[in-house]
Amino acid sequence: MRIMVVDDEMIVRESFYHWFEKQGYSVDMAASGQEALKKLENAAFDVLFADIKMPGMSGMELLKTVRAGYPDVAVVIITAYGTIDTAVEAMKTGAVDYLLKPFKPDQLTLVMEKVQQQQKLSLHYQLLENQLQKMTGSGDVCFENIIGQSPAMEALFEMIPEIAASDAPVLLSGETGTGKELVAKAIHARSQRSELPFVPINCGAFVETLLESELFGYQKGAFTGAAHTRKGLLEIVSGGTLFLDEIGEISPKMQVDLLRVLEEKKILRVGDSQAVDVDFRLVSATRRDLKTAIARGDFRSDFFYRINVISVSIPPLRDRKADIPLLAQHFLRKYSCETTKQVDGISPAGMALLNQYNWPGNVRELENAIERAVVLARSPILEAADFSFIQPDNYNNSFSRGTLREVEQSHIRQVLSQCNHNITRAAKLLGINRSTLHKKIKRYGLKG
Amino acid sequence: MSPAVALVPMGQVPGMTLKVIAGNIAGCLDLVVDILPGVPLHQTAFHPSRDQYNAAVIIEYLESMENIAHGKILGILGVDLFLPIFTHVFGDARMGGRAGAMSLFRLSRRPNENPLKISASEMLRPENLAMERGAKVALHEIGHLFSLIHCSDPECVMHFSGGIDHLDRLPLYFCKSCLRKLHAAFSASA
Repeated sequence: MRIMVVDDEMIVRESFYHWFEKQGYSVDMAASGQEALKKLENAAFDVLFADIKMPGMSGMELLKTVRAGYPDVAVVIITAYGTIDTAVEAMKTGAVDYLLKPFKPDQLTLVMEKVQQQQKLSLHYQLLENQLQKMTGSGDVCFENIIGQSPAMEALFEMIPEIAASDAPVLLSGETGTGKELVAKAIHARSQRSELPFVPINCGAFVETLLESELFGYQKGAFTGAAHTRKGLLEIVSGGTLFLDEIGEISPKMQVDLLRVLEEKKILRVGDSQAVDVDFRLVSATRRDLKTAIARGDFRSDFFYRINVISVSIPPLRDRKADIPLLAQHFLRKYSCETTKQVDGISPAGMALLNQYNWPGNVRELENAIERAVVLARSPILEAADFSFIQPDNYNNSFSRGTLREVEQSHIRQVLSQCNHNITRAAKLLGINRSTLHKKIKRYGLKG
Repeated sequence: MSPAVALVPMGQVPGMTLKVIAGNIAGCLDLVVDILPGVPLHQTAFHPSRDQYNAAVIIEYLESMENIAHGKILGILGVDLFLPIFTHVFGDARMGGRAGAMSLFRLSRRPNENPLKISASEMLRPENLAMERGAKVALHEIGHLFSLIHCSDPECVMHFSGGIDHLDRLPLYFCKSCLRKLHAAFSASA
């Protein structure tokens, strides 16, 4: 920590100097406010101890100038002629503390502890702000925590602000693990309701009666065990966004109840006769084809059209393979930070393997795969062997037919292709030594 | 110049306390410690409105004493010491300097006791606790003279203590890290 003591009295400057020196701090001194400002222009300081009464620029003037020009520098005001008014003024102007000379030695220790604590918090805040900026930045690859640079995702990024501007119900459709909840959150974050709650509920996780009491709440005594009146999520959301995931799983009765809520904007708690006004924006999500469900009679068409005013389809990962390297790098950074394991990248062969796979579990499956590989990694670069638990679909095809010789030939050809005919990498991936691989290449005529 | 330490009593200082301090410095640090004949209080250090002595002025005076051949000098006083920014100090020494000063004035009292309510004879009473506190302050200031900064380990005599209760919690020895630095400093100054 670098400290500057600004006081026109040399004995005061020296007293501070010697004390801070004994604390192990780096100390500089200035005899006036002007000299202090000159030193600030040329070097970085963490804390300034400034006397109020100085010829020329006063300590208060210096405090104001430093707060305006160097907001990260903490200023402690010192004076021998303290009044409550000056102390209040100093603190209001942005001083970290106010010391009345002479003070007890441990008071200075306490002030320094306070300064250090504040600077630690400020640093922590800056780190979080940077992290937030990176996550929500307006870059091409990241939008409200959704990562992607494929044309499909770019189209989605363009659509979200437009959807957020309206208040109409949205239906998100997409396979499991495609990030439907992230899209719902992004719509909420960009909407006028962003300061109000975002309340998600997975409809598929509750039986009908439980889902009813979760959504609508209940009156005391409504059923056995209802010891207290409880608000439902439709009330708790109060002005925010309600995210109903797996909407295709709800019962016909619940579809009717929700349809009424959407039309009347009123609810009845279970066991209550008094309607309560509700206000929320509905975003629903499903992995099922609801039109087929309607045709089969499993889903009400009137409810479908009420929740599907705006329809958004989220593409599966296999249809946006251009995003795989970006997502893989993102999850790699995330899990190497979380596990404090030094894993810096994925080898070309490893990345080729990730690109080949069809990812039926979509982004969630990719995230789990990277997490697993990072946890078990033994080197800073993830190799194809680290993803041995993934079985690309075309591998399955090649293994499904042919003689052992044919299968071996096909497998070696694929691995060589993945590794751009780098013998060392291919041999490592195949778990054989280089000379054995050379013999097999010669035997099968696989020269690149 | 000899690496030994000279203890200089200034004004009225109990002889037993001096011996305990000398014994602790010699025992803890394996240094030669001599108790020199007392000198009168240096009156230019006296601040009438504060009724205290300025430790910085005392240190300057001790550094100017040419008749002392010892490498380090510690002035020991029975009066209260201050520094311009502080209400009081138990002791003061420049980092890597030749002279330091310490006061026994506040060491006889119990924590939170007002020193103004203690009589002069009581203040100088060579009680065991006061002597132990004196030895801690002396070791701490000697540490600064050999360039040690305040230690973050509360189990080290170089840890900063602002009050008598803090001082009582400190041990009468250096932590391993500070001791290593001290021995390196002794070798350099030998």
